[in-house]
Amino acid sequence: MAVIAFETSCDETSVAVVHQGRVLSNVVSSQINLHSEYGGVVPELAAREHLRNLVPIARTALREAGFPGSAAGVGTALSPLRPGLPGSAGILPASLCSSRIELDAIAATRGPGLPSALLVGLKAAQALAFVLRRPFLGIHHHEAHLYSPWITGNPPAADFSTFEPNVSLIVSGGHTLLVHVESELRHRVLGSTVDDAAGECFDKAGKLLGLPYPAGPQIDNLAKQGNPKAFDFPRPMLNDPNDDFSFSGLKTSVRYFIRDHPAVLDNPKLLHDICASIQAAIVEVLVTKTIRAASRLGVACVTASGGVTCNSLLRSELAAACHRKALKLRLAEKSLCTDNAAMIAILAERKLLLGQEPTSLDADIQPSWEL
Amino acid sequence: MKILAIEFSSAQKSVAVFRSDWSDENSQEILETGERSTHALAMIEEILRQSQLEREQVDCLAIGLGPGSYTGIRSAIALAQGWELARPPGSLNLLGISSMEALAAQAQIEGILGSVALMVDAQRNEFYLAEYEVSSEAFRPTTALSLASFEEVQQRQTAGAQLAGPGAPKRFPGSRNLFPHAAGVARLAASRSDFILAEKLQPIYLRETAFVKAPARPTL
Repeated sequence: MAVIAFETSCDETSVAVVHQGRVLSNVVSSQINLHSEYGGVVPELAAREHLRNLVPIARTALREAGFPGSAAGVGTALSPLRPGLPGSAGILPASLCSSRIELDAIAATRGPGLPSALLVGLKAAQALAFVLRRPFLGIHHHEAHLYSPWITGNPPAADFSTFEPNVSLIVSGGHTLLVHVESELRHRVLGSTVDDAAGECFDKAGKLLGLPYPAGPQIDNLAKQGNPKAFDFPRPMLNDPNDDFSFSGLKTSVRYFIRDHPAVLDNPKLLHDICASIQAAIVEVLVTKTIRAASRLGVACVTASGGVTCNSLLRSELAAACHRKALKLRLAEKSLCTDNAAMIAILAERKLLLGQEPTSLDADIQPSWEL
Repeated sequence: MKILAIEFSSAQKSVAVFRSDWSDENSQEILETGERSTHALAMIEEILRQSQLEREQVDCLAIGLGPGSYTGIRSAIALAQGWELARPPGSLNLLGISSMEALAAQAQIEGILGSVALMVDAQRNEFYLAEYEVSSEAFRPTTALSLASFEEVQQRQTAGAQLAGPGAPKRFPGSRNLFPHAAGVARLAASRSDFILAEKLQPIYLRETAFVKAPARPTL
């Protein structure tokens, strides 16, 4: 089966093509530069950019996947044409058939996300499915993140044969979630942030330090030369008997600290120490609560995905903690941590293979869709 | 020419088909459905069925670009973009049509003749405004499309202009409730050949974007 997916839930326009679990193309156009001067994502600008970028990105993704116009054809290992799914019919135009495969289904992120941004990818995907007479699947962005750690290799491919129940940490600028993935496509949310997401805390704390948006990667870099124990920032809800998170208090603590010690901003050594201390506080909470949930539930595997999973300390601390507890750890590859359509396409293909009914072609966006 | 028109810029959404080969006497006929805001593709499927057209036979998509509801207009543009991706390169033409022009066409159909001030709510107590001279044979703009305050629109009405637009009577008693229709978009598109790339389609933006930029270092 071959699936094309669109992802426009926030500030990245992405289109991917997958075939039998293999990612044939995954093109991502980031709007970070556009939004950085505003200190965060401006939804109106994001929507305008998606409208401008979606078609060129889709054409590039199709070309890279080996559809006509491509500089490189698909590999010889691809299987021959297979019948379409129930509900699909009709012959595709040559531009959407490579020498060996054709698109069987269309998918898009349906939610959660920015309404005006989600709308662009969803409606375009639905029209594509309508004209091609192919099934359409609206995908939950976070559910796709749950399976992105199972996409590995070069070129990336999903490895569901090794899937096992796990506790999954999804941590980004918009969300912080702990999820018990009991089996494939069956999951239960254990906890989430009651206020700011972890990535939001990184970005807002960085903003207070005068760092450009997005501040998370900057803090990660500056922290490498700092002392994580130099300043004792709070670890909110660390010992609470639940799986929820809270990061707004930590951000406020940073705010008060800088208000009371403004000179630290002009001292490179102290700036490094502050970054390291903030990062240590956030990471300790994330790692401790994730490992605790895994131990309590008796799972043997922990996964992590989402933009903040690119953070080097989070990756190393999760690895160390899992090693101590004899837990397997699957971290999403960095290229698949941030928003991408590959994970949307992979999950859509998996769902269709397991018998999921297509989504209505007139289904609306679900900006606040709960996992 | 087989045109599918989509006009989603107001609360009354519609789609229409124009076929230049339709009637016995080479006249042009348009079918239209409307007012089902969240069922765009169901509406399109129905209008194509009524028009006896297959999806692959549509050779031009005409989109109402507003001004009006960004959500509706962007939905229509995204649908056009997805449609274009599904078709072989070069087999589908795209046109962006001013919904204000479609509104003037509708004024003509509904017999609102003479000097007509057409307005569309722009939120924040502002209105997109354009004046047209409408006769039973033709219509033409007499002022450029612009953003006007409530008071400015009210002044036009007080000065004797016929005021019309989507939901206009709610804000301006005595004005006419008038909606742009996809049929008007299709009719306007039939005489146009300034086709546009899918990625160049965008709503008509009149208001300057004014977002607050982050300070180099925030005040604590």
